[in-house]
Amino acid sequence: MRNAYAVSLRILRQFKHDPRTLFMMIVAPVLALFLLNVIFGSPDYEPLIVTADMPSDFVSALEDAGARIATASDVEALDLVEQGEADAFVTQDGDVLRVWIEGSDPSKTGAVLRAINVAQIEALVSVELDIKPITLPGGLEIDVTEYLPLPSFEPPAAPEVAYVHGSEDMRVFDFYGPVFIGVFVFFYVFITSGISFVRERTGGTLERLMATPIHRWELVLGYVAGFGLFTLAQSAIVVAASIYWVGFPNLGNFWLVLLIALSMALVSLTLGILVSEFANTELQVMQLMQIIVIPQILLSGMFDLSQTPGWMQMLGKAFPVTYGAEAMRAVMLRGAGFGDVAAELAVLWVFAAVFFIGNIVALRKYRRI
Amino acid sequence: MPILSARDIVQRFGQQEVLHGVSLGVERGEILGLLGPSGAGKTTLVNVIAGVTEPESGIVEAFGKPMPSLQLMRRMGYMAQSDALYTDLTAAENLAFFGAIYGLTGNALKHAGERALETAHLTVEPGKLAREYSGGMRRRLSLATAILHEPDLLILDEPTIGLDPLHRVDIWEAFRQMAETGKTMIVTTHVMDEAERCDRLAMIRDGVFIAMGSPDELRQRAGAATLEDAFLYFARVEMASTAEGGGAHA
Ligand SMILES: Nc1ncnc2c1ncn2[C@@H]1O[C@H](COP(=O)(O)OP(=O)(O)OP(=O)(O)O)[C@@H](O)[C@H]1O
Ligand SMILES: [Mg+2]
Repeated sequence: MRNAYAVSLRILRQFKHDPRTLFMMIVAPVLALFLLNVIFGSPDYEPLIVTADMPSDFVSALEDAGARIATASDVEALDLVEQGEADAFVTQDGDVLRVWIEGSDPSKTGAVLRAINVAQIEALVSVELDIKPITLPGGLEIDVTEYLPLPSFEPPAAPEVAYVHGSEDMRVFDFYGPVFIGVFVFFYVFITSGISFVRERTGGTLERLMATPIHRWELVLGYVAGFGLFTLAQSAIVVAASIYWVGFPNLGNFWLVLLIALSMALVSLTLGILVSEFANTELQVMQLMQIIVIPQILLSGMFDLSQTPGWMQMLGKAFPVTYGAEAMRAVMLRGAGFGDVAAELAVLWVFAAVFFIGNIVALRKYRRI
Repeated sequence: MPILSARDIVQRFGQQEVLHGVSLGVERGEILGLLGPSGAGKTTLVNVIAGVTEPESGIVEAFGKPMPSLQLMRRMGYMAQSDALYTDLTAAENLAFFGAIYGLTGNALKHAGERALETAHLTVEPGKLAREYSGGMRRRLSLATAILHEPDLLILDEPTIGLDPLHRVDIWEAFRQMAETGKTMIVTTHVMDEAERCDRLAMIRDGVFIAMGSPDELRQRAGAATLEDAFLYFARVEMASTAEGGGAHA
């Protein structure tokens, strides 16, 4: 135990002499979250639609629906769409509305189609039937509209929407935010811990330690404790910055969010050390990270896996990041309490414990005792 | 009873057998030199003796008890061929870390550190990181961390490599003084004038001992004027015998 303390004290001192690493550990994830927030927090895209020979009602309806409008001849318009300078070209061919869409960016395509749909409905509603009363010989006026059932163009009444979770104001990114927080903490902790442990091998100090009366578990515990302090600070800063500065909505308890982030950091820490025991250089840690961390992030539930093949869903469930991401979302988006995410937390701690023991076992290749 | 004995040590890396069953014993207060060319297996052998790696087969006993044992390691010191320092820590912090593992803290650590630095002939500058020291200074700091806890058995892998002749002489004098106080040392080297200073030499080549004895004894047996010639003589004898007998370790 005393030796574990010596190891963690040494790690703290190494950090003290290396403020840049410390600074990067905190600034890098916060910067990334901030950039993502600015990107996803920008207003909705306004598609640029070129029209030719369209009724002014329809054009103004398109504008109301949030499109920017330009007019051009058919040939010019198609050219603009082809060059990617306009998103779509709309014209009328008899009764049929013809639309050419640039089409390489699905989100822009969606924006164009939404604007056109809205405009079509509005244009329809705004048609005013100009039916004049008929004047019969003898001066009697008959208002035929009183006798004829006129087609109704009333749009359907807006549905009454209530949000069980979230709200109307929620942006797309708010759904991903909690996952990003967890993933970033995981990612950056992995890099730092993996690289620092592999240094212990390349510098010869690991062999040197094996000649001292230190237990293998003391070494691993010392690493986890020393780094644990930093990951605690790092997680706290990343979570606090995400919620209070970047502005992710959080319906749950701040401390619970922090506990989940810290649990993910602990898994990442123990996994990072374990992986570095199979790497001989810092570059190899990076290479292993591409195989071990990137798939975890992709399958973490950041993207919806419910329609993917069963094996992929199973694979996602075998990764710790998935549980952290799920717990993060539950707390931040749905205001879940400790009891609701206890199972996910337990899974994370089991992963951490398994990796911890794995580390002690892996060190056997140096020394049996 | 020898302080340290190794019997029939075989070590293998993958397909390559690096040590073909070597045995040695070291008495208390003795400086044993392991002399051999690069790649002979010196580091491999001392790593096995220090308990850093486990041999494929063979037995190591220190202080009469089987290795590896954390209790025994407490009484042993090891200086690796690479400096094996935390280069992003100061000299004092390096000493404090290794000292802590042997239970040295506070004043005990301070005194032990001062003594070790004196023995290693190193003056440290406070606040200076190990990576900012010269290569020879790091070597001596590495030595200081190995002798900090005043081990009874010291295993030194090329302790003076990269040191200037003056420091080399100073440090060998320190070794001799330690030996006189009853400390035992195993020192690897491929420098002949260092080998000269050992009480006993084990000449190792390609993972086997080709000769063992005091420097004078070895020169005499080989009928050679220098240890270098003696080494070449024993190497030739060894080659001849393996060629004849098919070799026990071919
Ligand atoms: N970790 C290892 N993996 C594979 N082979 C190794 C390893 N360590 C040593 N060897 C091989 O074992 C042999 C002996 O190496 P060793 O380091 O013991 O030599 P040495 O006598 O200490 O040499 P030097 O004087 O250059 O330090 C060499 O052929 C080397 O390639
Ligand atoms: Mg060597």
